Amino acid sequence: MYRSLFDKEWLKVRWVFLAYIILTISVLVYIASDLRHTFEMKGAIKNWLAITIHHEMYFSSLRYLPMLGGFALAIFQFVPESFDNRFRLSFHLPINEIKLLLYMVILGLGAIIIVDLITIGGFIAVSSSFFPAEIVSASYQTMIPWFMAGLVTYLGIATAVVEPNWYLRIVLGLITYFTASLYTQGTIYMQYNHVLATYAIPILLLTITIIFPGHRLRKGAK
Amino acid sequence: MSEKIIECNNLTHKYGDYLVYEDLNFTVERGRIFGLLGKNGMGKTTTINIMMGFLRPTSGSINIFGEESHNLSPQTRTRIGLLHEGHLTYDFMTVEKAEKFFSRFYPKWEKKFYYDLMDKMGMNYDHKISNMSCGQRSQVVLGLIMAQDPELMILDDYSMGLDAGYRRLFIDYLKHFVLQRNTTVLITSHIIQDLEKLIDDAIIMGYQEILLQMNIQKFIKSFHQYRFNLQETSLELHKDDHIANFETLDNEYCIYSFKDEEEIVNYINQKGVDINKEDISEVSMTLEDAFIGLTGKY
Repeated sequence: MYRSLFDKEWLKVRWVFLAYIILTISVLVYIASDLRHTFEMKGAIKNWLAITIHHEMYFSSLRYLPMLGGFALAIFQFVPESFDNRFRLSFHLPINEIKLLLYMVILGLGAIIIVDLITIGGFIAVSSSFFPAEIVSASYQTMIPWFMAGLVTYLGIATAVVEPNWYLRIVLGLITYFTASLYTQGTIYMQYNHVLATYAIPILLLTITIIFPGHRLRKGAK
Repeated sequence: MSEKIIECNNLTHKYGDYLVYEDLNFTVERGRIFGLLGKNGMGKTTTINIMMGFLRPTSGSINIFGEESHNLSPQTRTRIGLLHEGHLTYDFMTVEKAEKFFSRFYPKWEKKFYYDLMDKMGMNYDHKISNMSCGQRSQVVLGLIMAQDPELMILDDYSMGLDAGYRRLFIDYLKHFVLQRNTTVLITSHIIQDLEKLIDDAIIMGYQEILLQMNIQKFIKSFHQYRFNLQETSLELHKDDHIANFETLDNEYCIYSFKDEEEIVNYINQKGVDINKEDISEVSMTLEDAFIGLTGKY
């Protein structure tokens, strides 16, 4: 049963998932070539000062990528279900609708986390060839809230798409946008390290939020 | 006594202030093919949506296999094959992927029914459903429901978007299957002619009311159409115990009634119009004629 659901979700998101991975790798390649260019043109000392004194983030092109990925995955996974009321097909399957929705969300989160891990792995590989471990470590820790923004965007947009009421759908979309934006505001390295646990709370709450519009949709709310 | 598969008790539904119907009652017994008939907008899909728990009724309830419709357990849902209006399916799947997807949910799954139908249509198994015509999609959906081998089939407006050939194919396959398996069926459609040889019992829904609820063969036998001309006098008609419906065009009269010819003649005579049995002709009707006679053309 869950194998079937996995196959269905994969059918919907496979191309956008692959596109997201390709885009991520492209951005990492861009960061690598940009670093090489900067080191050659400006030299190591200027680069060092830019990072340690001016907090320039050589990886800032990754800032909004998780949000974009989360948005695209939520749209590709949930719009085909809500279009034409196709959720009714899923809700008639012999499986509890809450379990069904949570399983869909877990699969989506899993896809995002896989790309996040690819991003971190690739980023560490690229950065390590230019910088000492201290800078590499500070850099990827700075990116953690950006990855969280991707999860928030995915969960919020998925909830908005499942929501049957258009007014609430727009409100949810706006809340998602402003919440996710909070995670991408940092201007200095590791700025949010001390609030990461607090920042995780909305994600945990949003993980189960989808069951409320899902339940209302199941019972025929408009 | 036969087992009651569907029990609809005093069902009333309103959209805001708009009353769809009030106090709808019916039962569907095991092995029966039950038609929920009515013109567009009379509440057929609303009833199906309530039945499948997608809509809460204003009052009343529907029980399916003894469970309340808005609270059907997953186990009970395995016993119900549901065709959604518009032959809704996962159209991002191919013929083969759709079969594989649904097969894992239903313990009695028999893929032979599905692939027989696909082979009959010469359908490639890797054909994507979104690239199919409405008729082809309807067969995919029917094949999936048959493979599920449900005890109850609920088919909401199966005829939507289908040409005559595909409607016939759908009904022929369905009939063969349900008679073989003793499947209970609740079917809605606004194309009545196809259902004449299929359904056992029917409800005919009118505007905010139930016009009729009976065995379909009994309906065809007991419902009559009488035609006559009156040259000089005029006759004022109203719907009542004798007149289920009527049409007039100049001096031509057409009466639809459950009464026999003699009773209609007496009825007209009592209204002060002199008419004999010889002046009236009874016109034989198909189920569709009778349906239109009862519900009206407008």
